[in-house]
Amino acid sequence: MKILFAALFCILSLNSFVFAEEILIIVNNNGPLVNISDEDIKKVYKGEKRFEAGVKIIPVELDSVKEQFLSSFIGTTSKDYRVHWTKKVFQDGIQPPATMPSIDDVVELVKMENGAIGYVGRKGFKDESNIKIIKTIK
Amino acid sequence: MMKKCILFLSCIAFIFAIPVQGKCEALKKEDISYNLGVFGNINYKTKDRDTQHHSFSLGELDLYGTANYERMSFLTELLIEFEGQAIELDMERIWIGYSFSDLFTLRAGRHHTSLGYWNRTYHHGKQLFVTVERPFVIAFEGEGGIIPAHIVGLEAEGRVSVGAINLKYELQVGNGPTITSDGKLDPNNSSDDNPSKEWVARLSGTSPVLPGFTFGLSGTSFKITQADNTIINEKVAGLDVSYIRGELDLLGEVFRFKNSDKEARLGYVQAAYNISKYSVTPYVRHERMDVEDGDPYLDALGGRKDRTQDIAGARYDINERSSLKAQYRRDKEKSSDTKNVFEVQWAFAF
Repeated sequence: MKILFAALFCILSLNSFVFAEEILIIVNNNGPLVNISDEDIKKVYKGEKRFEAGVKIIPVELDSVKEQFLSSFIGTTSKDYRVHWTKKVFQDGIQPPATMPSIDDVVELVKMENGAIGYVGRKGFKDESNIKIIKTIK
Repeated sequence: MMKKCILFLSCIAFIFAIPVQGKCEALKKEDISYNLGVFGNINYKTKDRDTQHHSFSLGELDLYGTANYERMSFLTELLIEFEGQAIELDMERIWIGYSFSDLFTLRAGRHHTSLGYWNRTYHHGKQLFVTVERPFVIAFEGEGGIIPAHIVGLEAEGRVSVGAINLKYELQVGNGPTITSDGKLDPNNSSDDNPSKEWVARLSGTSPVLPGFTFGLSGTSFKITQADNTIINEKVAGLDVSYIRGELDLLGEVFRFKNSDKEARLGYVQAAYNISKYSVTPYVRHERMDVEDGDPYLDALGGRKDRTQDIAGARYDINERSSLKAQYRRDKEKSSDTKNVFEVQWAFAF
């Protein structure tokens, strides 16, 4: 029985190891966010920082790694993050970051908009032209 | 009558629009993003100062909408309340704003005053409260409150980091309140009844060094013209402190009202602890108002007496959109019976 539990524990540990993907935070290469600090990135995703060097910041999120990004970088759960944004919308009338379904959507927007910032999983991210990776989250 | 019908129909249309559009957090269409939401609550309470019998009541239905386009933002908050047999519609907030930078956003319209923490954090959304009601010391004008909770005019807001401190300022100027013939504050929505304007300011700060901790200083100054044309020059100063982190939720606010003759002091402290395993949050709150006899401002509002209120209860989160709250409230007013009230609320937000 003990061996069975140990085996199950190993499988679950292996699962979490396999599914924890490296996350890259990306910005437009020509935009003002290339030197943004970690603290300011957190403020952006919480709606507390909306401009950099006079440019409006457009944060976007990738659905498939959102949970991991929130827990490992922002330090919150998706539930608390939703509650935070319910309050923020109600208080300040601003919109939460748009959540994109695919890496291509995030990359396309970051390329197009000078003030865009997004995150993607390392796997499947190929097109780096006009994009700067400003942080890698392991 | 026609106007009321149109308003009511607009509200119904607004409600029915929610299931279609409200599912997504933000819908993007031609670079305009929208958001629609609703807060509501249903209540039961034993008899208190306002009711003769234990009763069920329909709470407020709070419909809000926001829109953003480039640097502009718009917000409206419409409240449907039930007063006896009548349905009352109140435009609580409506403003249009333009953000120049993080340091400066300008808004025009009807706002909640930036006095203290609660008034601008929770607005009318009871699902956001831990408790059943806001503290009586900061009750809204229509519910017998003495704090001017709304202002019609301009608002400037901005944030700046100074070292390890993130500062936020809020500055408002607009029509000062008046006092109606039935002794209630009214924010003078369509015109001012005297030439002076009300000023409100709040400076608050947070720091990554002390995560979850917020302090704020706020104040306002306004003039009330009485029926005999005498003017009351009222000044309010406030201090608020909050610590909201992890399972712990601590809040405290104090205000000092002062005019040429008298002063009043009021405030509350509230503590809550979330036991996440059971989705239960027990809480306690103490509220207090100390007044002086013959205060012309409070007399114009129908008079106030020293009053304390103690609350103990628990909130159960059914899920992130809905909660059940049950609380005991001991309401003690000078020269009056102490009221022991038990109340239950089912609050929701969609």
